[in-house]
Amino acid sequence: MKCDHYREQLLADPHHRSARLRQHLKQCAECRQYSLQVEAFERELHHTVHLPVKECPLPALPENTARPRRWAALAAATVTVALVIALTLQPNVEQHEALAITSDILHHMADEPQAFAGTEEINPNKLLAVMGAKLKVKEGWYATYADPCKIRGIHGLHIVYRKGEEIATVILLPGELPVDKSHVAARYSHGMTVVVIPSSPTRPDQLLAGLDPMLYPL
Amino acid sequence: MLPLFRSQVHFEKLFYRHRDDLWRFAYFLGSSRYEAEEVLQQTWLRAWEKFHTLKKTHKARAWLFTILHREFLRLRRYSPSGEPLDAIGELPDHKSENPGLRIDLERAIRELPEKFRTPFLMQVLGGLSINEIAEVLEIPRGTVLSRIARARKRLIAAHPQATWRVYSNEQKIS
Repeated sequence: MKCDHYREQLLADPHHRSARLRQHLKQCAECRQYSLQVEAFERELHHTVHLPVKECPLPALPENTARPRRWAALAAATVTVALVIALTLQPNVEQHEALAITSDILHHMADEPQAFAGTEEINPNKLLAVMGAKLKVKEGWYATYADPCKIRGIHGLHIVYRKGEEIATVILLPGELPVDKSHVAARYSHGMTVVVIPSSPTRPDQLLAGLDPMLYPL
Repeated sequence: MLPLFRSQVHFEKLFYRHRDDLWRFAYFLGSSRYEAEEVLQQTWLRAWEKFHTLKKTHKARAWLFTILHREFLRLRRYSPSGEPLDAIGELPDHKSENPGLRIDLERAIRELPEKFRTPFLMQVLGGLSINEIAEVLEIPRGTVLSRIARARKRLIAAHPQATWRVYSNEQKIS
């Protein structure tokens, strides 16, 4: 029974042997012999499956309409670079913290380009409820993306709102966190921070006023 | 981490890095070369369509194997292959010391039931971990372990030549 168990392990993943399996192989001559069979089989198998491949070119690729808007990603990247530079030059501790948080928010956005891909309206209320909040925005704006996120170890919520050609990213984080107001806008309400980030050459404070996110506790 | 701007150039890099093993995976999954090529074509188109959802470069391989497996199942659903294994066409040229054994082994892999063959090939060709396979196939880890073990057991049992070589080596050592 014990040998069967170890042989099963060998067969399931011959290249990853646990310490117990190695110990058993030292003690059991029959299983050691069996492991040699498996090794010999693995060698043949390797040569068998790595058969010569017919060279084939990449198929013709259609225009990928689902890709996120490049300018949105470019904006996030440009601002991130600017913030990193500012961060290294900034001696003030509070400002330093604000720049670091803002930089992390923008990094997160750059890592989630698919957030800009959707155009269909979605309902972020369930995710907001998990955070114990309800968020209302001005009429005309609708959410097209919502997903939990983690910024500097803090669990928050990443939402993208659209209105015509305008796109606003909202990052909702618990606690009152400082942000760099030259790149993003923030509103503090009910012990939470609502960060609004433009994805086009819009001023953050104008976008905040336009979107007017109002947070309510549940 | 993938670059922010995922152009066709990045996709081509991904294609040339993984195309051979994906081709082999499709070849062993399908029942004919034609089916394998059709699955591959769909896989690359689907991968391009979903390229923006790929977040980490080191996950690309598992991601592509997942897409290929899904495309394979999808095509099978629409046109279940009734082609016998003999219709594979010319087999690849095994330039080895024991081509007979390898052709037999190749045939035995193809003859494994699909539920054993798929996780087994994902491990052998894709290098996917047990956890990754469990995630891709949406089955428990223990089931993956058991299916792969059973696949190997059947193949070893069907090939006494491999066993013979071991005993022969052992005798030389002693």
